[in-house]
Amino acid sequence: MITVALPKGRLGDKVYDMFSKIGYDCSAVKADSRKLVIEDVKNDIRYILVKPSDVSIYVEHGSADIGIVGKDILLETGSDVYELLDLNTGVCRIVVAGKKNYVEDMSIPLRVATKYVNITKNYFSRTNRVIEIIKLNGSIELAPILGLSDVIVDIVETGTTLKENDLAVLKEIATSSARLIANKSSYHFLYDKITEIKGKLENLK
Amino acid sequence: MNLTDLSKEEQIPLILSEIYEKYGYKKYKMAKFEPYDLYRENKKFLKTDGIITFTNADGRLMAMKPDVTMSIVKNTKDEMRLQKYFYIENVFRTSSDTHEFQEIEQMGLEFIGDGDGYSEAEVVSLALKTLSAINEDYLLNMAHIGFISAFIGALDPDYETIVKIYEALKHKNTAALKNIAKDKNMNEYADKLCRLAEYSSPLQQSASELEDFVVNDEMACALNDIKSLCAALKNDPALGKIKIDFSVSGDADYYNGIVFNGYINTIPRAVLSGGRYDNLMKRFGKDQCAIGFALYLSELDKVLHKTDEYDADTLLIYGNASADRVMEAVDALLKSRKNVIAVNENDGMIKAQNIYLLKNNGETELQK
Repeated sequence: MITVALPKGRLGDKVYDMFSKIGYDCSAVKADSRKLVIEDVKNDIRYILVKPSDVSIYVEHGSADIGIVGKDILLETGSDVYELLDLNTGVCRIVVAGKKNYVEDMSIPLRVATKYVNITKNYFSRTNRVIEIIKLNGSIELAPILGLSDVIVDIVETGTTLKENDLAVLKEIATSSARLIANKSSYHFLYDKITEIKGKLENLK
Repeated sequence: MNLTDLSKEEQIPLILSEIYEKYGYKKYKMAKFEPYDLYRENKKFLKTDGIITFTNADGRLMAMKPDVTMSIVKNTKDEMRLQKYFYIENVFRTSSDTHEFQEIEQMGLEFIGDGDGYSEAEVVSLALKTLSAINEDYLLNMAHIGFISAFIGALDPDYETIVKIYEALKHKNTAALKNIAKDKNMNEYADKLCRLAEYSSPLQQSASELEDFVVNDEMACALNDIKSLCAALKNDPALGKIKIDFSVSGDADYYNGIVFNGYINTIPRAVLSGGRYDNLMKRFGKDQCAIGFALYLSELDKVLHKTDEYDADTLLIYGNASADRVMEAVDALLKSRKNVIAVNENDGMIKAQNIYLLKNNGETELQK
C-alpha cells in the first residue's frame, strides 16, 4: 500500500480534486476533515492529512511515500526528497514586501519579519545585506505597519492583501507552486505505482 | 555463544567483517583525533561543516574523527600498489535535521590500487553482498560522474548553472531543468536533461539505452566503464539489483567514476554510499586509484533495533534466603533460562517473562 501525504487547507482542496480526477477517490478525505488517516483499500492507497509545512518532513522520513507540497515549503525545509512534478496549482510568489513609500537605510541592519527564516537568510546572504530576522507565524503584513519590521518576506498570490494594507512588492525571490514529491527510497521500491500516479497527474495539465 | 544468539544489529558487523576478510581486506583502526588541516581543505568531501575541533597540548588544532576514508587515504603507503582495508568506526558530524553534533557508526571498505575493471567489480559486488546480508529486498543505485559531467560540460554552462543542474538531477526535478534550459537557451538539450533526471533502469539495460545520450568522447568512455562493469558482474546473481540512476551524486572534485547508493526497502534513507575517488587521492598527492563505500550502521539501527518487552527473561525472588542458596538457585535456573535477575522482593519495577520464588528448601517455584 502506498502512503500519500496531503496538505490540509486551501491547497489540499485543490489536490483532492486532482486525485479524484485521476481515479483516486478522495471524497472520504473531504467528507471527514477530522480523520487523519484514510485508507482506500480498492486502490491500495492510504492518505494522511497533515499541516502543509509538515508534508515534506513526513515524506523525507518515510512515513509517507509521496506527498503534495508547496515549493515554498521545500525551499524553507531543504528536505532531501525527489521533486517529481510541478502541478502548476497553488501558484504564488515569494517576495520581499514593505510599505509603498519605503526607503531602505543601508547604514543599519534590515529588520525582516517572516515565517520563512531559511529562505530569508539564504536570500539576503547572497546579497550580503545584514539583517535581523523576526520570526512570525501569521499575519506577517502587520509587522511593517506597526513598525515591528522594515520589510517582510512572505508569499503573495494576487497581491490584494498587500494592497489593502498599503504594502507593495519590493523584490521577487522565487515563484512557488504545488509539487509532487517522493521519498528517495520509496520511489525505487514503489517505482511502478509512483510513476503511474505521476503520469496521470502530468496528463491532467 | 552462537551468532544467532545476537541481535541482528550485533550480527551484521561480524558477518560483514568475515566477508571482507575473505577478499583480503585488513581491519583499519583510526586514531580518535587527527590534525584539523587534513580535513580543512576537503570539507566538501565530508558534506558537513560541523567538525569538532580542539587545541592539543602542543597548540595544534585537532579534529575529532569526522571521516574514515580521508584518514585511510592520508595513511596510504606510496610504495605499495595494493592496499585493502575495512573499518568499523564511530565518526562525529553535524545532523542535517537538528544541526547538533551526532555520533554515527559506520562500517566500510576501501580498495586502493590499480584502477582496473576488477577493483570496481569487486567493490560493487561486496556492496551488493553487504546489502544482501542486511535484507534481501535491496537496491543499488549507480551513476557515473564522468558520464554526467561530460554531458553537462557539452552544454558549456556557467558555474552557477552547473550547480543548479546537479541540484535538479539530484532531486529528479525536471521542472527546474526545463526552466534552466529555457533561461540559458539550451532548449535542444532540455529533453535529454529531463530524460537523464528521470532515468532509472537496470544496469544490463542501461548499457545499450545510454548510447542515445552520448554526445562526446568522454561520455563514450564513461559508458564503456559501465559496460565493462556489467560484463564483469555478469555471473553475479545480484546483478539485477543494480540500477543506473543519475540522482546519485558525488562531487567531481573528489569522485571520477562510478558512484552508488544502497537502499533497503522500508528504510527511508540510503544506508550505503560509495564510489571511485581517484581525484581525492590526487589531492593528497597519491598516484593510486581508489574505490570504496560506507555502510551507515546507525541508520540501520533505527530499523533493526527491537526494544525488549521485558527487562529480564527470569526474575528470582529470594526473600530472606542466604547468599549461597541464592547463588545455587541462580546457577540452576541459568541452565534452562536465557538470563536471571535475583531480587529479595518484587517491587514490580523489573518486568520479567517468568517469575520464580526461592522456597525455604532451596527449590524454585514458578509463579503464575
